Amino acid sequence: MPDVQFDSFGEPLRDDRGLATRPQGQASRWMLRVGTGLFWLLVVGILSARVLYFDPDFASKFGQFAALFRPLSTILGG
Amino acid sequence: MNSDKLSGEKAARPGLAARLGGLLPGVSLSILITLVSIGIQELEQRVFGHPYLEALVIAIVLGMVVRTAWVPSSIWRSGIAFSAKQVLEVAVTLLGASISVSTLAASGFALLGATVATVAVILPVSYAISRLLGLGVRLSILVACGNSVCGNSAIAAVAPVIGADGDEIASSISFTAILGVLIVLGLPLLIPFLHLSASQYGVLAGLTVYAVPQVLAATVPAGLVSTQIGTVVKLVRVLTLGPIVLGFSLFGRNLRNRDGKTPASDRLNYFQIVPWFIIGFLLLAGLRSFELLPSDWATPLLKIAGLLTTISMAALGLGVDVRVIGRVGGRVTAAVTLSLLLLMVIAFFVAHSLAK
Repeated sequence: MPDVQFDSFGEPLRDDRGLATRPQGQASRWMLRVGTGLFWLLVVGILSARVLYFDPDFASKFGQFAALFRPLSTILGG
Repeated sequence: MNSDKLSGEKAARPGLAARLGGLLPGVSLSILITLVSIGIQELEQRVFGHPYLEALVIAIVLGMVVRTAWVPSSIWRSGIAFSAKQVLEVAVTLLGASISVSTLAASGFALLGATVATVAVILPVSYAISRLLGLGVRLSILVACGNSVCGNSAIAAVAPVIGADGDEIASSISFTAILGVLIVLGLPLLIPFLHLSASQYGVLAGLTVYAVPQVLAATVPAGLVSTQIGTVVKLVRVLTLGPIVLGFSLFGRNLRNRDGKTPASDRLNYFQIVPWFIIGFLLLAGLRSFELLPSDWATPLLKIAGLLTTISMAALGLGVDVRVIGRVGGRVTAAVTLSLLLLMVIAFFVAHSLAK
């Protein structure tokens, strides 16, 4: 009988063996840790650097964003 | 008796109008999600000057959001399946209009050789990394193609050729898109850090950034020279999609046969070796290369291809089980990150040797 797994709502989980298998071996587990670690390092590093070298002109772009909704608020307000 | 059976089958088979009517709800829903996605992309364009996330990515994510909140009933499913498969195949055919041998010739031998060599090296390495991380064969191919060629477009073009399903396409596109945005945000920071000239940065951006609009977003702050070089390198990289798609259609026949059954007929079926949409893709690429297709037609054909791809991505998103993607997310993220960092190291050395 096939091993069917269920989620917390009782719905059967789809078989994902075609998508992936559990990483086998030390090298595979090490790569997974290094890969995900580097990903989060990139996220934190890039976002922090963007904040440090913040482009003051960027703020005006949020002004442009808000301006897009002004006609809408006028219509709704009117 | 046979004729009775045949006439019975004929009566049971729905007519063209009924079949089209059956497709309508699912196709309409996919188009609706596409229109919302294009609207969000336009909003990004107006606010930031460049779309950081393309409509294609937004469509698949929106489709997944809808699918998580509501499971489409049988009325919707045939149209969703049609949009995900047949519409994508037509889009791949139309992508052939982007392949032009004259562009290759104009780019120069050194740039062409370096770009093709980079793709040729990173494609198998990225595949090997994905397999080592335990990802399936098809998902590994999609991650490798997305990383080495042009992100989402390459994934969308290769997916039907290798018989990838919605979960595989959504997993590879979602996580590749996240990394794609990170590169666009992070790459300009490398200019002072690595003391890159405008031309070197252009080569680096063209070799590492996934989509053409993202190349513009990453290079425009560095100036016109970077933008021009980056775009040319990126276009050459996109052109490698032709031989890659053809290679998978010729040698990946077993991958398309998901259930492992052998064809009923032993006769050589050319459409099983090379799918019809690849023949169309090559035909359009040939017409464009020999200038038999007017150059004015290329842009509208590519726009239609982009629109159809977005519709099919919305449909694919509607069929995706987020829980499955969540379970492979860590491994896809690790595979894309490691492949991308390796690509950046190779691209850095190529940029230093090609440009001053």
